Amino acid sequence: MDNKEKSMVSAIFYLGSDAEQTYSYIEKACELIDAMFEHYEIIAVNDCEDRSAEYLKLRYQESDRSAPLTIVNMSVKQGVECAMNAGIDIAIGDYLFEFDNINSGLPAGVIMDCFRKSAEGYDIVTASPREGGTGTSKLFYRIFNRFSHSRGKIGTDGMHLLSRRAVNRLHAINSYIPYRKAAYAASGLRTATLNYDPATKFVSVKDDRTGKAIDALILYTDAAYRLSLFISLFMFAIAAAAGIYTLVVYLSLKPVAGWTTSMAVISAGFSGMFLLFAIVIKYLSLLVNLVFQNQKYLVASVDKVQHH
Amino acid sequence: MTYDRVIIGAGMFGLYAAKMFGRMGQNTVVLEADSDAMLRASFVNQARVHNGYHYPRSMATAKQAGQYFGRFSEEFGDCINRSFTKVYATSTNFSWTNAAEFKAFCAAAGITCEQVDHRKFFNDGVVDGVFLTEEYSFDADLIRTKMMRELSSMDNVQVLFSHRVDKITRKNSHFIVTACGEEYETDFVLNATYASANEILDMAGFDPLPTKYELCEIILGEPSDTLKPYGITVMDGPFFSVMPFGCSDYHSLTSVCFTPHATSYDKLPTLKCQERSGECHPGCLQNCDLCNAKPKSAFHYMHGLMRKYLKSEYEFNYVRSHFALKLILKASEIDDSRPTVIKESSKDPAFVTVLSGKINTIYDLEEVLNG
Ligand SMILES: Cc1cc2nc3c(=O)[nH]c(=O)nc-3n(C[C@H](O)[C@H](O)[C@H](O)COP(=O)(O)OP(=O)(O)OC[C@H]3O[C@@H](n4cnc5c(N)ncnc54)[C@H](O)[C@@H]3O)c2cc1C
Repeated sequence: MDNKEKSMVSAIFYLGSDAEQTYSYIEKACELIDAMFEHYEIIAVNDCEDRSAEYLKLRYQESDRSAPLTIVNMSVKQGVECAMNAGIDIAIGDYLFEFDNINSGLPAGVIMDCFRKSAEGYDIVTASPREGGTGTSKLFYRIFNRFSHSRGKIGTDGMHLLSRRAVNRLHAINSYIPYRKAAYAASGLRTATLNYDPATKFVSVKDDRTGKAIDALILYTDAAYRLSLFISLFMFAIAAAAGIYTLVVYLSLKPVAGWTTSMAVISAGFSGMFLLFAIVIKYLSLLVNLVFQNQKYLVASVDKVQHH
Repeated sequence: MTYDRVIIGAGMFGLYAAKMFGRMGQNTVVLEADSDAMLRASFVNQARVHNGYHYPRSMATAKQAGQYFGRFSEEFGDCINRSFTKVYATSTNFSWTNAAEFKAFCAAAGITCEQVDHRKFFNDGVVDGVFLTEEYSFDADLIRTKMMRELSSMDNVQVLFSHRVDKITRKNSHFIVTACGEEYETDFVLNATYASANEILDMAGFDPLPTKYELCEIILGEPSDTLKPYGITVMDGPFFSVMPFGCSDYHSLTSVCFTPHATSYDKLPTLKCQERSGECHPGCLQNCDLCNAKPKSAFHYMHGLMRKYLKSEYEFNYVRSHFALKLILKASEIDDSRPTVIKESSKDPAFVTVLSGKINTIYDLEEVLNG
């Protein structure tokens, strides 16, 4: 009698460009999942890595695994975030394992550890390598975590485990998810991070990272808002100071004709413009919230305390 | 023995044809391989009385389906479950249609469709439109009883069970159909064997129809109290359907991806499970539902799909699975305005094959058999 878990899980993989390496990664992960779960499905997201997808299909047909394999083929290369979202949308499991990166050096036991952790009541569990990630990405995470209001912090990661409840919640909060990591941290659900020592060297997935980083900062933190508002107000202050200086000079030093008028126009104009900017930025941040956030507030859970 | 009409197969189509011939005063015999009528596709299916909702991409089919729907619901009114609300939803992702399209389509086809809030039934973000529609579920057991009662009151109609046809020869202007060593002579053979249609055509030396086959699983289960008054279908793509199974206490659960277990593209259905079954082989198809080499149930996957979409109070508890071979006609054979294929392989004596993917298209039989 085997005592495999009864929950149905989906394992979602982002296919890499090296067909054989991708296949052996998936095969190994499946072997582990197979040993733990009675029912699971495999979803491979093919972000224009057709050779890997073909190879996987071929080898999988030859293997004797009974779990269904679904390959989601993206029409044009859209990057990890978009592609994995498609994979998540088609998955049917109670739990979703997201394997974004076949170079994550994930040691065997981590998958099970994540599942156990989630059973403790964490809807989102992230496995994060102790070593790995580039200097710039570390800087980005520092800025992000500094300005984000989320309970969870983000960092380099090798795998995510989501419960169906978490997926439903994420759909309810945001109409679309441009950056999963940040959305998970911002979801208000209970999240946990497990650190692991990579079995092989951790190599990040290539992606449009600068664009992603800026989007994430704008959407999930108030760093961009605070920075731009600060600049506008600072510039407004300078322009206003210039106005005061002009007034002082005009009253005390009798400057050449025309200087005062030019200076008055310039400083008043700039003050007005920067004040306007500050207001526009405030407007924009409200708009981002209106469009992007479907819900006004986030509740992690409701505890009822009853008097006996 | 000589008959005016010999019908092979006592599924819905064979029985309905027998009734028509009987009324016309023809001396008719129905030869059926199984021990009772309607034990294969006519019983093992979703029991949906189609009303056109399934064809958001084909207006002609939808309109036609609406006409069949009305007539069938009237004639078999006492064998139909109308006591549930049918919910159709269009999936947000991976669907070939969307809410706006579906609504426009229903309006154009003139079928009932009232848009409601998704939150009553579905999790957030999974569907982009939810509609209350009108669709029923037929009860194959009740239909069998009704049809057999009607036929038994006709002196000129005989239905013989456990009579598998294993030989068909032509003698002058007659066909001789052999079952259980008995010969049945006639100048009109109706082949109503659905998944075995090509087997019978082959036996008689006629060209087969271009078909493919899918071994399908229909799951029956107990719906939770919240689910009970509803039938729910998510479309149009790799989704699922959960709806009352006739007038029984059960709902059926099916899904486009997981209901088919095996596919055969051969002229005669060739499947791996046949090796294990012993009796069944491509030229001699047995009843999949009674077979001992049935595949393992895909319940967990179908259930997973259902849970992904539906709120947790809409539950379904597994009771049992039924299996049948589904026949799919190649596109070239399908005429949208008449989804039934009626093929006349020989005129005099007549050898006619009837094939349809829908129970309530039995009325297509009239056109040919009256003429
Ligand atoms: C999974 C599935 C879901 C479906 N869902 C629906 C639905 O929701 N709504 C709907 O309207 N339709 C549905 N259909 C289609 C519907 O089931 C068929 O269109 C219908 O049952 C065909 O009836 P029939 O009489 O032609 O075939 P059958 O009921 O299969 O009858 C054929 C008969 O021929 C007999 N036979 C075979 N070989 C021989 C032989 N050599 N000698 C003697 N007898 C023989 C068989 O034993 C059988 O009784 C579905 C079909 C499947 C498989």
